Amino acid sequence: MNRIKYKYINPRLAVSHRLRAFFLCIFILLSVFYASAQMTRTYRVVMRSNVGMDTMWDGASFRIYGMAPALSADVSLPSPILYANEGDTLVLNALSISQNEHHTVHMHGMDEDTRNDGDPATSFYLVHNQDTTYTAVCTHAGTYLYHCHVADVIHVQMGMYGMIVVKAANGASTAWTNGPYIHHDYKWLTSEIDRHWHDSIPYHDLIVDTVHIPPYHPGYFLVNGKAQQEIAADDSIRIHGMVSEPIYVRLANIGFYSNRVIFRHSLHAKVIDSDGRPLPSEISSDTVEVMPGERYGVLLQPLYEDSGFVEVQYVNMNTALSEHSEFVPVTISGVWNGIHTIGTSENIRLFPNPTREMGWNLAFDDGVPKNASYAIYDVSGRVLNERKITSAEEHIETHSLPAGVYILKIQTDSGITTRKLMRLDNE
Amino acid sequence: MIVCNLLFRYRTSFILIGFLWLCNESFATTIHQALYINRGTFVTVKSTTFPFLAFNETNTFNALNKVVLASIGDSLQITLTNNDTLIHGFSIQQSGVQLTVGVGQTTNILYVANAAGNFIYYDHLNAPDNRYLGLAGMICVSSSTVQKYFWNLKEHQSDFNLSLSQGITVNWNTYYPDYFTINGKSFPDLQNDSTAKVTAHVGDTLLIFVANTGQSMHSLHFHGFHALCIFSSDANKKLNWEKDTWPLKSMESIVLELIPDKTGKYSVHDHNLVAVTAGNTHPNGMFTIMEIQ
Repeated sequence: MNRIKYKYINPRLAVSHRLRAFFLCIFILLSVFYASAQMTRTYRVVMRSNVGMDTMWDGASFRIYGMAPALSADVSLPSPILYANEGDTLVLNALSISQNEHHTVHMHGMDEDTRNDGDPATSFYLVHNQDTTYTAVCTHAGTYLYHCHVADVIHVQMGMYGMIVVKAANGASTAWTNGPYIHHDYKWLTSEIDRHWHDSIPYHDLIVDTVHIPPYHPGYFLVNGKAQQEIAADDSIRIHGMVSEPIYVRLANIGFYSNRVIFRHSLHAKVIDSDGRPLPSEISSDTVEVMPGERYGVLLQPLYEDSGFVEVQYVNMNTALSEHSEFVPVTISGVWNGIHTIGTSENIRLFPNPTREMGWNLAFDDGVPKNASYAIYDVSGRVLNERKITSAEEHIETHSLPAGVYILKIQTDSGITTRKLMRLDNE
Repeated sequence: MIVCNLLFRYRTSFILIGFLWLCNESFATTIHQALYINRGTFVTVKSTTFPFLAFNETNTFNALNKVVLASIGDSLQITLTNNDTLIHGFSIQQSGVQLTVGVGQTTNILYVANAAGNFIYYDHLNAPDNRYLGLAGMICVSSSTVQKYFWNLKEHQSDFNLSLSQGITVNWNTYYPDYFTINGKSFPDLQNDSTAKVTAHVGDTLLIFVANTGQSMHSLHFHGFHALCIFSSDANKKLNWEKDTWPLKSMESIVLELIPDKTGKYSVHDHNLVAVTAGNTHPNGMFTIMEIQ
């Protein structure tokens, strides 16, 4: 006779088991969450110096080296952008297909250890048909570079470089994790070309990697490998935006000249980060200088509708003289009313608008916003009036303002919004 | 009797005040520093030579300008002797010190190190010619006891040195240097300079005093680490910035704090890669390797 055994379960222990199961489920869920949030991003990087040509805006064509995403892919100047999120592990499966050349991949600014640094002076290099894996943990969102570090003065000039973009954790649309919201994300990688180096590639000794370089006198000045009319035609470079829209521009310089990037005043440029770290405090400046190897994050929040150019100057490091300028077109049209503006048309009311001598009333239906202020700009971007907001209904005087169009910018802890103001002549 | 009573009643306070006074006297000292303006020959890593001037601690020429160290509050008593055949100037950035010293003359300069930082002393006459010929060094002020390293960045165009030393004017708009040095040395010679070559352990706090006394701009890239700026001569604009690539314009100085978090060997070099050369040969020039154990 089979005896059925009943196991006695102490009610207290049963509760304990349930709790254990509950915590196990939480643990599994968290593991799944983090596994999905923090990924390994793997890229193929094929380093090639025996194939590759590039054609400039004027039709000139010459040899380049490059880092292609596959053996079958052409090399390009610059190499493709590599993307990751903060917390990810970036893995580069690198293969050198370059007879008579050595190569490495240096992930510039990623603070990788010596093994993964790609510096032949402290680590190893790849010979023809050799492969390896470089790994870096993306500890900080920001803008980085990758380039070959063997005979780097030659191999970088020949085009073996690209940008690494580490976005905020989970790919959030912020400049860094919990940083300011960004709606557009432009990436400008600047460099120069001295085609004489490309036509007659300088000799470099393969054993000790010594290089004898000719004088450097660049004739092509590039943004993302493009110049002149090519820039104007490239929607990934030229800026299209709206008044008040948070537009983020990543500036990175892999050339041997310094860059002086001059933004239009209407763009209200603020430098907010550099080399993958937020600045202690943002710097409002229309001009940003970017020396070789540096990266900057610039947040634009246009004050008014405008069109024109951002000037990128290429400055000789020895004479401090600007030798060339490229011009990136900018078009700011319409007023942005995106998801990150504060409030909505329902809970921030501006009336009457247009107005005359009675002024405007600015009402906050949700109460007094925290740390709030407003500023009124004229159409040239000049600040005319700046006040803290201390009540749920503010009155804005118009006595000192001539008839015309103005921009009202409201800033609070939770964001920024702008409104167009119309001031009519007194009756 | 009343005085005795007061002295007795407040004896603890008097002892404390006396102790603090003694401490103050012992920490803020007067430093006597001899400096000589010497003319000599700069020997490059490629064994080529060109004329050079330097502020040295003795009458003997050395291409490395003396690094003058002081603690905050110290009084620096500098005795400057001009061994050259031309009149020279002496200025210290952010101090108001500016004077001239005639041929064969000696003069005394008092500099009170009021604040921590890295201050360039230099010859301001015939700017930038005298300074370019080598007359620029660093006064490094810090009361910290951590490891310190000193990098005086400079580049040289050999034929400019030759012309200027013969009194021939040069066109700075055509400047194209052929040697790039830190403390007057290029890689690999620089690795033998213990004041420049970083050798440290994980977790150490290091202070690196960097000055660009050359004419060119330089952009120093650190492999492996970001460094924190704790002093910037540019109106402290870069204070508390944390970067891996540090731009320095001519006559700009910074102090960086670096706390290595991993072992290994890590390069630091100018990312104007043309500056990692000497006599147009790479990899010489402005390039050093840090060793972290």
